Amino acid sequence: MIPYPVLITQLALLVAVLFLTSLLVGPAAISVRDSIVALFSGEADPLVLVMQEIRLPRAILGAMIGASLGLSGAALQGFLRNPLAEPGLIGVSSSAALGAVLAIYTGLAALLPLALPLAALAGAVIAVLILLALTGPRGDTLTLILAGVALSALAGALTSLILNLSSNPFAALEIVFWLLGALTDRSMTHVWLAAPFMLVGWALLAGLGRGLDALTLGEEASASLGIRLNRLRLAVVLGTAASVGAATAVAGAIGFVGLVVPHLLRPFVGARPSRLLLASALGGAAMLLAADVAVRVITPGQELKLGVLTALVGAPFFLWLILKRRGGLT
Amino acid sequence: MTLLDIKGLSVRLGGRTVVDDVGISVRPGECIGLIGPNGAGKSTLMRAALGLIPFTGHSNLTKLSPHARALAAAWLPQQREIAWGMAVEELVKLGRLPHRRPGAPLSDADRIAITEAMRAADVTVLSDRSASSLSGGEQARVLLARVLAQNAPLTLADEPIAALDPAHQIATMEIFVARAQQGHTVVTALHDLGLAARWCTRLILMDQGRVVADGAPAEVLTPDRLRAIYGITAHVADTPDGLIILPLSRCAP
Repeated sequence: MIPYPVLITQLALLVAVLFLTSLLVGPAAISVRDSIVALFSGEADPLVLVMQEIRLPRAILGAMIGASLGLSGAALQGFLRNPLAEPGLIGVSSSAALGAVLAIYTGLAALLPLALPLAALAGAVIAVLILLALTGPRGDTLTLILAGVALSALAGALTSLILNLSSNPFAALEIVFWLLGALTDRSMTHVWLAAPFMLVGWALLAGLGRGLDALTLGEEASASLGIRLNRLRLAVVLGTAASVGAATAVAGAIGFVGLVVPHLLRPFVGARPSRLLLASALGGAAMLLAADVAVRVITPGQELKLGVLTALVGAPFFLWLILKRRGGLT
Repeated sequence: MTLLDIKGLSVRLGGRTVVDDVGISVRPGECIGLIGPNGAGKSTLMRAALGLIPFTGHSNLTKLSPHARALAAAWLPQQREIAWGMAVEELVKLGRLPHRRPGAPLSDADRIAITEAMRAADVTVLSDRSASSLSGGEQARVLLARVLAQNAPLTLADEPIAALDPAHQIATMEIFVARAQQGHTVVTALHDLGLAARWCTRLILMDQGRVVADGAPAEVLTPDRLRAIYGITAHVADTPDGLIILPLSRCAP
């Protein structure tokens, strides 16, 4: 087995390489040297604009969103002791999407560019408040999952309702395209908007390793080892909501990263939930950066939506993992 | 010194009183068998005493902070849950969590406790194996090693020997007795009256949520009680090897 520090170094290098690749790939053919120069230049040049205002925020968002999805996926799987858990499970992403869809439908998003991500964040916050009110201070894990599923279903139904009522076909198309998830045309403003929430979420989730390791033995055994389960549950919910809510607000719903990445990396960390956290955050960043490079390379003219690609690649890959597992090869 | 002090403890689950006004006091150096028919309230009593479920009454353990309680008492639940295929040694290491600051490396005391616990539970050879490749009995021994590594003065165990072969059943009881001789105390729920009679220094017999007898095995396991509580007749013999009990048949109610 690869030693843990080596694994982390390799994943970090992979993220760095893919981050650079993401900066260098795009419709505007710019040489590597010019790109690097333009990235740090202070001049008002179209090249500088492309690098600093288009490609840099896109690469940063790709890494941040991927890390959020990977980290919260690993935390949720560890917390629920279920390899099928994913960040969308607690209903925050679908509620954030509903907020965004409302902003598009009402025309607010067209008036004010930031209305869309702000409405999505509001959707995520409301979802968390409902979730916490439903589960209560002593709420158990099952209630949390059921509340999350119910919330997802409700947000999904309301999103469908809005699409249904949308008389303007262009608005409906815009909504559908936004729901597919993408990183095109995002600015540094999006980065600054999402970053505080994500950092808070990461900080909450990163400290959970000890509790998640103990939870391997079940809720009662971990409680008897001194783990405060209520506090752990709250940190998982708030951490996932903050990071994934912000991710959905700026990029739409991007599936499968939070499900597949922890699953893929688990064997490399000896299945230890604490070590899976950082590994999954890096793995998620790498996977999303790679996918975002791929959509630009595969279909340069009309870009494939990022969320479509992750699901398109993620789902068969997941099937393959299941087959491999069934064959007892892992 | 009292390791466990329970007074007037009652638990209601789903509108039913599962544990009814139980009082138990446990001193260092005891190996206590908690016995009684299915549904007598043995598991519920131990979980309430640890503060894992709501109850009314008094238990000294629930006055402690979760961390202090983890240092005072170790708990081996009946449900043998190992969610991920972690290496056996990593699972045993979890028993040292209460003794370690977050992120701190293993101390010498940690290492000794882990090695000792793995040796005692006979899982040293499994050290690098993934938990998912183990049999049920092997998993039970790994979880026992985790509890031993916690090295708390008081250990509460819920049917720890149910999945084990006879040699490992005896080995587990020997470990508990050895712990008791070192001044620790073990309270273990058991269904095997033979093992309970032979190894425990004290038996607590429960029925329908109440303690009906508490004392030395020979005092507790009388033919009348076996008939009244379990509805069985048994062969009881006091031998040089200790008390021997062999359930023979069910008797008419």
